[in-house]
Amino acid sequence: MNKSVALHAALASVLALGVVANPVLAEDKAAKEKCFGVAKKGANDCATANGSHSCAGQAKADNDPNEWKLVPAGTCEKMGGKMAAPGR
Amino acid sequence: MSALREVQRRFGAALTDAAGEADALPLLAGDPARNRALLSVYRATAVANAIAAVRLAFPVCAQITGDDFFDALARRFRDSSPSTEGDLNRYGAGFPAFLDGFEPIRALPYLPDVARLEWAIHQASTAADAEPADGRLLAGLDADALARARLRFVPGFALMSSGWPVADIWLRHTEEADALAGIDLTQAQCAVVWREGWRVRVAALAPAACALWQALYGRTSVAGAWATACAVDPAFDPGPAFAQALDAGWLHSIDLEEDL
Amino acid sequence: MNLDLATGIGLRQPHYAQLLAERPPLGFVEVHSENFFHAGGASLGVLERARAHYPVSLHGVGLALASADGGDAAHVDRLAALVERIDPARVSEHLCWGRIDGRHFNDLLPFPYTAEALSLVAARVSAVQDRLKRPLLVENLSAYVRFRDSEMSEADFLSELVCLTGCGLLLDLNNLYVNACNFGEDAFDALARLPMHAVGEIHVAGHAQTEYGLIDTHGSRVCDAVWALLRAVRAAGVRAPVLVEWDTDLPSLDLLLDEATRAGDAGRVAAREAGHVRAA
Repeated sequence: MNKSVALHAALASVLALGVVANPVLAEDKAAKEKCFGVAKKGANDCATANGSHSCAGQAKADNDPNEWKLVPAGTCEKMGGKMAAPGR
Repeated sequence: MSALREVQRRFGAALTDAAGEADALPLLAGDPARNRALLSVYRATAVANAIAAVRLAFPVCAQITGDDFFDALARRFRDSSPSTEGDLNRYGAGFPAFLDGFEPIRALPYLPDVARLEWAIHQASTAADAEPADGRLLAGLDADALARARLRFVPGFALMSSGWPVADIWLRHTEEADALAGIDLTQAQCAVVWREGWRVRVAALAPAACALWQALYGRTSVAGAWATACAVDPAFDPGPAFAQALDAGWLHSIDLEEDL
Repeated sequence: MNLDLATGIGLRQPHYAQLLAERPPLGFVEVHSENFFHAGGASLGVLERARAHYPVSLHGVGLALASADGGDAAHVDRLAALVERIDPARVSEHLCWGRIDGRHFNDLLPFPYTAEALSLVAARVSAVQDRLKRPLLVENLSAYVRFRDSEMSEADFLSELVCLTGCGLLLDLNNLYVNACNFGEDAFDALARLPMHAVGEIHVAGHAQTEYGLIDTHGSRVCDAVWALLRAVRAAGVRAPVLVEWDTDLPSLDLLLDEATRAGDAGRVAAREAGHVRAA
């Protein structure tokens, strides 16, 4: 089979999709109404964990840790974070 | 030089580093000891604002490292790449590249790519709303016309090829956390990001499909992209790949050769 | 848009679903403009839904009107696009700087009130108003430090700015109170020096007492002294909408609405007693 014939054969299965209207679209707008929870908080909002914001003050002084002594303490162990990187 | 600019430079230096306080204090009226403490409060606010913005854009990275470690990472990032704009939602584009060479995360080698994926997700969440194309996009085309056509994708669509299973890592952190077991960290993966309504979706793509969509996203013709995919997998069938794209809503429109 | 004695609250992400479902009676809602500088997506969609039911006040935090760096044209463009899309009842910004030599501190920073600064801020405000084709309200700031080189008070600076540009004043009573306490001044005297005729919106909020003095945290109920200032403003005949600002430790929507009701009641009673509003 030469390349052009192979291409035409491969694209036939793509062209067969060319009649299907997407059934999801009709429901899309209704689904949108229900998902206000998807909206992320804006970075310029104020309610951060340590209570700071551009339009509200931080009620504490700056305490800059100069040395890096921290150890990751999230999900990294489960993610294999304590293992050596796989050789690749 | 303008006196106002000089004041702002010196005040700004004190917000960047405690060492800058000495030059800023003479600008201020009242008790220097109290002013020094207040400059520190201002510095804390500026630091906390930047850290909070980075954390909002990279929530899975923060889960992986834990909050304290992440805050320290974000603070070091801010030291090297401070914000330049008045909208913190736009801050953090350089965070993945910062992580690339950052020694303290050596034990988390996948973290920079997880951050790259999260930035694509962050961008997708605010991309323009668009009605994706359905199967009618292809109606009436013959194979020759399709072979020469180029595709346009919906806003927010992104592909990311990684040496790490980034899509799996991200998905496991956003669904139930117990599902964490079972990720094969030795596996390379291509992730696709797109918007479904307002929701951002992420999935893993097989290597040949990833090659196809990367080529098409790069404005290669359908024939050229198909050849690229076949170089990865000689048995590649574009039918299911296009079916997935139409079903998920990745495609926006098609440019036929006469339109180009 | 005449919002008169209306009361409003901030539209904040944890309250989106409940607010849009219940649509409580509110005179308006307010958002931080920069959080909606997007081409699309859920946040902007929520704001558009809210706009269908309430007037919206766009409150900016990033324009940095007093930055000696030139204005950020792209930022103004994004604000103009949002204004076009939302058709807000008010557009406001702070009397502050935030960016110097290309670096933005994303905080509301104080500066010396000098003739040089006045001329720069006036030019910037005029340019923004020309671009938006509507007046800008400029908010008095919580400033924790003051500058030796200031040539005038913030109140005088704002009065001059109003004269030079025709802008309005966003009168933040909590900021006024915090500054007066921190610098040992009388808040009512400070209030009397501000250009009351230009007030287009009022903010009330809570603050925190710290070892550094009062800090404007927007994280608690409004204190009695700030309610007293609101009553004084209403008694002076100022008819402008009032917003309860609550950002840190965001409470339930119900508590926030309760605080908004208090703001409305306090203002109406004072206005009525002073003869500015007929008894209902």
